[in-house]
Amino acid sequence: MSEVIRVFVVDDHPVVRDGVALLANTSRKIEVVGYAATGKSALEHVREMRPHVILLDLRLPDMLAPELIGAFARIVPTARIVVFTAYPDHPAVRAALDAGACGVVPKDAARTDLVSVITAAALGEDAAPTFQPAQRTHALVGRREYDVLRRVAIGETNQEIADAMCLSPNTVKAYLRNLMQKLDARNRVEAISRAREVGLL
Amino acid sequence: MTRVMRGTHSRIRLAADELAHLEREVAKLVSFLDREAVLREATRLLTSDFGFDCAWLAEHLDGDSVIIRHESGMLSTAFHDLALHRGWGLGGKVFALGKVEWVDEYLSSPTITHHYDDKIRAERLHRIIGAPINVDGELVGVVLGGARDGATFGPRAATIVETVAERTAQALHVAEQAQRKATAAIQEERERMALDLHDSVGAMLFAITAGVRSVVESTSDAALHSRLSTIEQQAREAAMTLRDSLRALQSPVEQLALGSALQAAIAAFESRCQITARLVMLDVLPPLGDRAVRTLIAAAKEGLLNVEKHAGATDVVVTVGCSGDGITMAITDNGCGIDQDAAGEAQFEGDRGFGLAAIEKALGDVGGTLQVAGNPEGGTTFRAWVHA
Repeated sequence: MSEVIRVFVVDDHPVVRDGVALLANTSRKIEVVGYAATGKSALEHVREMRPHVILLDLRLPDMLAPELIGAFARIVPTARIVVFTAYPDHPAVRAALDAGACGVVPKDAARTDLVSVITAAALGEDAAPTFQPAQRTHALVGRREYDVLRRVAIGETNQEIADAMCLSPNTVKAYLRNLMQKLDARNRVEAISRAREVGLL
Repeated sequence: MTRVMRGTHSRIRLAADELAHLEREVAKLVSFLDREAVLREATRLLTSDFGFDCAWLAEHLDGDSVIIRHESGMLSTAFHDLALHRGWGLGGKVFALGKVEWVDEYLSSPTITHHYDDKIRAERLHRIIGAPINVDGELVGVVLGGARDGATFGPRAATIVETVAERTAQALHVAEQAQRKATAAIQEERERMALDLHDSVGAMLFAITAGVRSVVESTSDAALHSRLSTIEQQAREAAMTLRDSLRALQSPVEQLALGSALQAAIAAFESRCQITARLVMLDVLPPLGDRAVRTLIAAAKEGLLNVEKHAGATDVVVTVGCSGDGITMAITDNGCGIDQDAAGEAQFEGDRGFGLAAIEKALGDVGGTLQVAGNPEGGTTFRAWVHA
């Protein structure tokens, strides 16, 4: 992607927009093009913003995230929506991913390289597990990876996860390996601990 | 109001106006939204408004007796905390039969047992009447009234005591509902506070860290870099602390109890074998029965013991979360794993001992399951599941 990645931030706290802008400024390839504090205002402005990536807070004062994600998908179908969360609220994250968000990223600026997350989301890197170790790591946890993480945390075996998600055990293994890489973990125990630290679990 | 007349011909009278008074007074019980207040008021009503010399109320806590918890108009402490065994004396008879009963000459009555005669003597009681308090078809207590004169009880006294017992039961039911609602309201408020804090303070901490991060990346000053990294680290720790506190605020009391029991087991494990262990509560849990909670805690202890004995692990995580229509407690370690050939039932025998088999049985008794499996990249996962 040669053009600048246009990011639209939807979060009811203006400080979050400022934080994202500061982090994004470190890359010339990313531009925060707009900000909305409510779902209503986001829907009004999202079309003119032509975002590649929408960073969406899980909890907005006026609308539920899944509702908003569905509306975004109709208005700006090419935009990729990343759930931006500071608190691991599994039912809410699950619902947002089911509604079409492409991944979830913890609101943890110290641990998360937001530039690479936004780039990965814009490139669609969350879509399938890469079987080769990625050259560049990013912390965007994709929909499937998030599912695998939850299931690993609850103690399911790879075979059980594969059965539950209709995947092959090798695919589960690949998801798990990517996940561990993103979380900088060497094994399941570390993956669960790190996910907890950054607010994914 | 018409007071009960004393004397040889007297009975506890229930004239029309008195019946109305009875209804009015006992109806007030329902306005006491507190269990203890209801029980106290029930005995007070019998002595102050309906002419009994004394009244007492015994609660059914568990087992084969009711225990006297509230008294009014007593001369001694003889009845204090007295356990009335099922079938013994008059209170025990009411408890056993579940209907109103009375005796007029207590000490010489052939219709009751005389286990409590010394107490009755201490109170100088001649006659006693009692009625059961039933809430939702279950006997929760017995209310009794006594008189020190030589008169007799009749249907009217029975009406009074029964009415008081019935209204007490209703009031207890209402108090329980109110208590439940209040608890739910408090829980709701705590959750709202937690979410508000998460939204506001969480957002600010993110912005602070982002600000520090952007300066870190634009400076080449090593000393400044190191100081900023410290601030970044502190902000991150603040965010983690915030999340942990919010989680506690959101958790129902029973979940906090389960969490602290597991935390205690983990602390004991850590100090015993110098292996790092951490508890991760994944969800707000549905209500769990006491037995299921005890079984999960026992399973956690056994699972940790298993790690200590066999795993050769350095790092352990205990997770608790919802799965299916139940709750799973998983212990994952980074140890040597288990022999895949020994999968299935075989792994609970021999070397891995009776402990796992016992826990599997205990879990089975509460409709739960146990699974122990090695992970392909090393380590073992021990998983206990109970129905919620």
